[in-house]
Amino acid sequence: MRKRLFCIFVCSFLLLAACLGVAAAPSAGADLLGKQDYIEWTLSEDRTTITGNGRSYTYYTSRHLGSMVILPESYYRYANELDFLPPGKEGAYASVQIESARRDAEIIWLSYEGVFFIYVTESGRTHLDFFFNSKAASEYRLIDDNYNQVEMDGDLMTSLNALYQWSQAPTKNYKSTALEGKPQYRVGKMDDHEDFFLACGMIFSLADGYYYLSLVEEELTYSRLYDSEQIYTLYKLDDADAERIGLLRDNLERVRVPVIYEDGIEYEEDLNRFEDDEEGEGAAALLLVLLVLFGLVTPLVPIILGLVMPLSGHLKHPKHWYALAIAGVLWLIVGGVLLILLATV
Amino acid sequence: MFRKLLKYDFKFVARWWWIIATSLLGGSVIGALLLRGTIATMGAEEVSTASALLVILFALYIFAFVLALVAGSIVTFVLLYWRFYSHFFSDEGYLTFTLPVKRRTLLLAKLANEMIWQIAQVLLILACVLVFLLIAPPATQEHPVIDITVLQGAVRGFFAIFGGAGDGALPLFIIEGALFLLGLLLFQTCLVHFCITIGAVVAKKHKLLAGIGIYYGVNMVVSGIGQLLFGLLGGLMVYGLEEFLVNAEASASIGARALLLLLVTLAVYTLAVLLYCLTQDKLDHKLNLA
Repeated sequence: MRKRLFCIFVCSFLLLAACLGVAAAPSAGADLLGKQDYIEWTLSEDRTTITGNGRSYTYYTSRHLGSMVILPESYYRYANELDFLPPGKEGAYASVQIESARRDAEIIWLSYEGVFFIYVTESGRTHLDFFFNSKAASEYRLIDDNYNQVEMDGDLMTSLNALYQWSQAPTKNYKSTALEGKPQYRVGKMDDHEDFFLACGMIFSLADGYYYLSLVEEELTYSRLYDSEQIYTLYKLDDADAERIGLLRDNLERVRVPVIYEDGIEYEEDLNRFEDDEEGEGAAALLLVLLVLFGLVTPLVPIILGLVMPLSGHLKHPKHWYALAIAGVLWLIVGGVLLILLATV
Repeated sequence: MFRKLLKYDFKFVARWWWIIATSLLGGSVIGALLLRGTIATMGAEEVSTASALLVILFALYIFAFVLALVAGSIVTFVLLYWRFYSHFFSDEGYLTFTLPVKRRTLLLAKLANEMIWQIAQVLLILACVLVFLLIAPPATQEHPVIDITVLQGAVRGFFAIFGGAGDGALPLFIIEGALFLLGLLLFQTCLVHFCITIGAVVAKKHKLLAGIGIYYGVNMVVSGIGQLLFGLLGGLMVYGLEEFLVNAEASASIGARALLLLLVTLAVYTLAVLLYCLTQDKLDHKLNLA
């Protein structure tokens, strides 16, 4: 009996170990039939070249990168990390993940302290140079700060750029600091692989309509737009273009892109800051309910208490209780003003 | 009379507090020098036994220093509220209440004294951090004695927390933040007064113990409610506010955020006033010194 129990125990243990081995193998980078190797990345001493995947990627810099957004239809995330420090920068190396739009891509990127650095093969360099310098593109898009996006007609882009050639277009001068908080959208072109977006201009929604600022004409980059206090001249869109921009704005779509890991696992990642429109509306409605409760109903308690207690007659210092009522009134006023402000936004 | 009462209360705490302050400041200078030595040693290519010992010594010292910081705050707390209890509810209370002073003046003097010393305690901790930031960074070629750039970076980092506020709104949010923290301190002080007073009124013996027990219980309830309000509902409110202000003008956005913070601050002050009124009422009517 003991032997049988011992055999059952050993067999169960071996079976469990085998199952665990099979389950763990893909995530560990090796399966039972053959070892799967992940790409090993190495950084050159001068940090300008990354080698891996049988290719050599060199550091890519361009002033246009300040206006570029990486917006591929999928992300490919390599398993092995790289100890990285940007070229020419002093500091500590950090372990970073390398990404590209697809496996075996000619352009890879990595993020160090929240800033993206691009490395390219020769073919990738040619592709990006062509993308940045060409005047035309097959696809244009309008995107907002949360990376919601919508496809835009090429002729609308042409019409926007024509504002700078048409001397009669009404203009408005704005300080960069005043523009920063305004509702704004980037308009620009996509590259042929539809991986990268380059902002060519900005649309600002101001009190009397939409205004356009061409980053190309002004030789600006998006990332430097608000770096220092400058005065920008904005061109007002005519009614037809304003209507088209309004329609595009209404059709902005949240984008979810699949992230494919080197081990084959895939999941969708949201490019948006906000998860869901419905969830956002729910949160806004909840805020109103909470504000009514916290800003208008709750302060009634100290107000009533502060007014009723001194009338009870047994208090030596009724004035203290009036202070409570005054504090409650201030609380109520601020709650009311906040609700009015939110209602008018 | 208020000034006299405040002066005596102030002197009582000052007699002990300067020892805490000088020890902690001295301790932070030693700690900062040790940290400076440790950083310099760790930068060396070869790690010697002496440098390893220095690292261990520094780690032990920092542990002891943090304990001392906590102990300093506890001692200040005990000094302040022991004085409140003994003056009002121990045998000394008979003498206190025979003084030709109104009870509200007595309470107000205690409250003012406690606020002053608690603010001083916060400033002392900030001063210790400042000493570390000034002395600990190793010397460089540009800064052979004190490298002030680390402190500048820390200050910039602190203000960067309010970075989303917009340039013009930064002072507004800092003032509001300070008012909010002051309100929390006032609320906490009034809560301790209230609990000690209730303990003294309710219990015939072991009044202080009853006060501590009540404070412990009330504090748990208040912390629970606070965590619910600030953690869950506060998070939802901020998320909802973001949703509201996504397309709002910058001025409206700043205004709404400032008003929301002011609303919470006023709620805290109102609660503090309520606790103060209740304590005053109990002192006036139900004081049991038997």
